[in-house]
Amino acid sequence: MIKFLQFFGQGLLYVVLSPIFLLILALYVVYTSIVMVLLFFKMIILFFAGKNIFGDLPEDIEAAKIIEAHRQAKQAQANPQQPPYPYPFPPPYGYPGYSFPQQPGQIIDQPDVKEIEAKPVDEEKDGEQ
Amino acid sequence: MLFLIKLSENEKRLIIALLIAVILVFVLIGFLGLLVKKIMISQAHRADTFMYDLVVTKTVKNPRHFRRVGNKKNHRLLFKQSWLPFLFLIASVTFLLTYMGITGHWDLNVFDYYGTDGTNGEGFTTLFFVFDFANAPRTEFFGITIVSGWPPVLSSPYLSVNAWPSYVFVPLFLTGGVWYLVCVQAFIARSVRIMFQSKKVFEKRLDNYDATKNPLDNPLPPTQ
Repeated sequence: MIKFLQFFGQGLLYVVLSPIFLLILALYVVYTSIVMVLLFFKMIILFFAGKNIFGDLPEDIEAAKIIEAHRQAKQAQANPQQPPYPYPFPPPYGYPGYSFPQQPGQIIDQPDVKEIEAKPVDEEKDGEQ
Repeated sequence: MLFLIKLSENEKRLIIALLIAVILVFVLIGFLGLLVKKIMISQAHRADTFMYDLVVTKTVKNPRHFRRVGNKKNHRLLFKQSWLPFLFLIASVTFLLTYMGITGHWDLNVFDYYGTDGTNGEGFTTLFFVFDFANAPRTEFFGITIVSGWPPVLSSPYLSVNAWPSYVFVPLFLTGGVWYLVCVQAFIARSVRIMFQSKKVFEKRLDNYDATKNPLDNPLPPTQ
């Protein structure tokens, strides 16, 4: 019964306030119509400028970066990676002139390795010919 | 009270029936209002969806920033949702104006049902029953004139060749109009939600504040 009376009271209130609701709706219809026209022209201008009106906002990009960084941090925490090789990091088949895999106690000549890594592949081939 | 005693049994019944009808109408309006409110609440949650990541990552710094970004996204969503109904509206109006311009028939009445002889109406209402409410039978009831019978029928449904532009224009315009109004209603719901959430998200309340449990109020002594 209370619910019924509540509905009745609300109905009475809506009838009394309906002109105000309609006025607000009418104002918003006018406002949104103007927004639609302006956004339409903006979309055309942005289209010819090679941009998209529905593209991400700077805030969205920033948020996506933060979320991605957080996700990666969590993933790294869950699956800890093997620590990287100490320098010099061996290429897939080791360095020329050195045994692979690296033997215990084997000393790799640092300047020699650096020179190998710095040399472009093509230049190396030319040198061979 | 004396007035009620003087009434006949039939008049009392009529008063009760009228009262029940009025109450039911108000209850129905209240129920519809509640329905609209619930729909608007569900529509407003879309604003939460597009602002959630920005709030969680603290990308939006203050209420003003929240409102600025929220309103921008809200406008974009409005455009995305309502370009089709807006196109319907523009297409229907353009169609009607073009037809009027080509035929030179600028006084076309899209709600005409009669035409010249009752068979060549040019409006959409040719498809419906039209009642003559102005000449409906009325009766005096406690000094108030009320409708006491079914009004006479002015026109029965029929298809009219003259009305084809109205058959195209009215459904297209009504569909676009109602659809657009729903989109605007959703826009209003989201706008209100953005306005309230912009304050609520950054609100700091001291209601449950307990200084003894807050470590900031009991800093450790400086290390030696």
